[in-house]
Amino acid sequence: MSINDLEPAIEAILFVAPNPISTTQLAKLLDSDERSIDKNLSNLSKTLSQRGIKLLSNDNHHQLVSAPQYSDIVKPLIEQSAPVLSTANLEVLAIVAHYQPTTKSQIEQLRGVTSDKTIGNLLAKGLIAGEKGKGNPLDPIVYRTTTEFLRQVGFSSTQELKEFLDRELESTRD
Amino acid sequence: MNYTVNLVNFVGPLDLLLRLIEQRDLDITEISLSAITKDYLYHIEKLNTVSEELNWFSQVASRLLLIKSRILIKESIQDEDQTSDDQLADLTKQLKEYKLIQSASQVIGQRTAFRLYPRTLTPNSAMTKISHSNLTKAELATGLKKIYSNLARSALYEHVIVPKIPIESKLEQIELSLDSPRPLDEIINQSHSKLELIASLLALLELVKRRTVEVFETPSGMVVKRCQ
Repeated sequence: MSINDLEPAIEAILFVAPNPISTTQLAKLLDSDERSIDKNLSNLSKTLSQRGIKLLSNDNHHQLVSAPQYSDIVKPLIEQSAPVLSTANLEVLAIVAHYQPTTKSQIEQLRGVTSDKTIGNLLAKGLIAGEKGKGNPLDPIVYRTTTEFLRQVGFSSTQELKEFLDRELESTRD
Repeated sequence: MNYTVNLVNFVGPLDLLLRLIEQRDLDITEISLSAITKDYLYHIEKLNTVSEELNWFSQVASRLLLIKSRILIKESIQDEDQTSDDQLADLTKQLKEYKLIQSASQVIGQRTAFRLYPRTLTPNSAMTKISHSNLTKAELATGLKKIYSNLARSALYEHVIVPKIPIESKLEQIELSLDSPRPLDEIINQSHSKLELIASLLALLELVKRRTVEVFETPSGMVVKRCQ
């Protein structure tokens, strides 16, 4: 496959894929290398910027989703009820989103209260994911936000989420 | 200063501190923390919470008391205990950080209106094939005709429409017929079907409940009459 065909080919694969597809899988399917795939994914993201669909990329996995500004229009069709999150859930999500990767002790230090139950709840909802450090076995579990979380709050990458939070919180900072 | 404190469930001690500071319209400083110590202590006295959580609230309370005592006797103490000072400064820093987190959590809460939806169609459901690829339109028509002719004629007329009898109309009918007391049997026997009989009885019970009519016993049987 020629290098020019890669972008539409990636688009075609992501269009029919029911779940997020990894960069490695795309490279394998298209008989290409991961670097070229990444470059074309970035181009595809730009191509879609004016469209009703958007490229969602997180943890080297990619998926086509409806654009955030059309959420209200799409919602009745999908008929999913809006997720109900408690104040405690939102607080922990905000910490993980802003400080990721973060640990339970950092979360508790920032909130000033035990957070085991809330972390467990968010893990069960699939909004955050915990990962054990690969080095020292005593290293604590680190938490990050998931693709599901990005989908629910309408961001196409963790980077975009972090930048958005930084902008929004600028006025709150001293 | 007189003001009311709402006794609601707080997410944690920092949440409580922040609300107390905001209620008094103060900035997050050590002096503000010293000023709200009494309110905070009053609050945790009334807090109905489990011991593990209470521990966090007490920890903050002890830091507040230390801040307050330091500010009260500031003149007489020297800055010998640097570690303790750092710890106190930490509380204001922690509170500022917590305020930031609260803002971030509100922003995230609002963002759920911008949810992204993935495609819901799975390849398996999209790719279901029709196995009888040789089937023609003519064959389909013949098959349908055969099924139709096999249907027993009676089956086509078996469905009987049962008339609905609204209780409201029965209520009105009974009420209007009671210019003078009437035997119960007479009212019930007017019914032409079991369904109407049930509707009449239900309507009569409803009228008794509403105290519009009353039913009493006479030597000749039950009699219904309008209430005075």
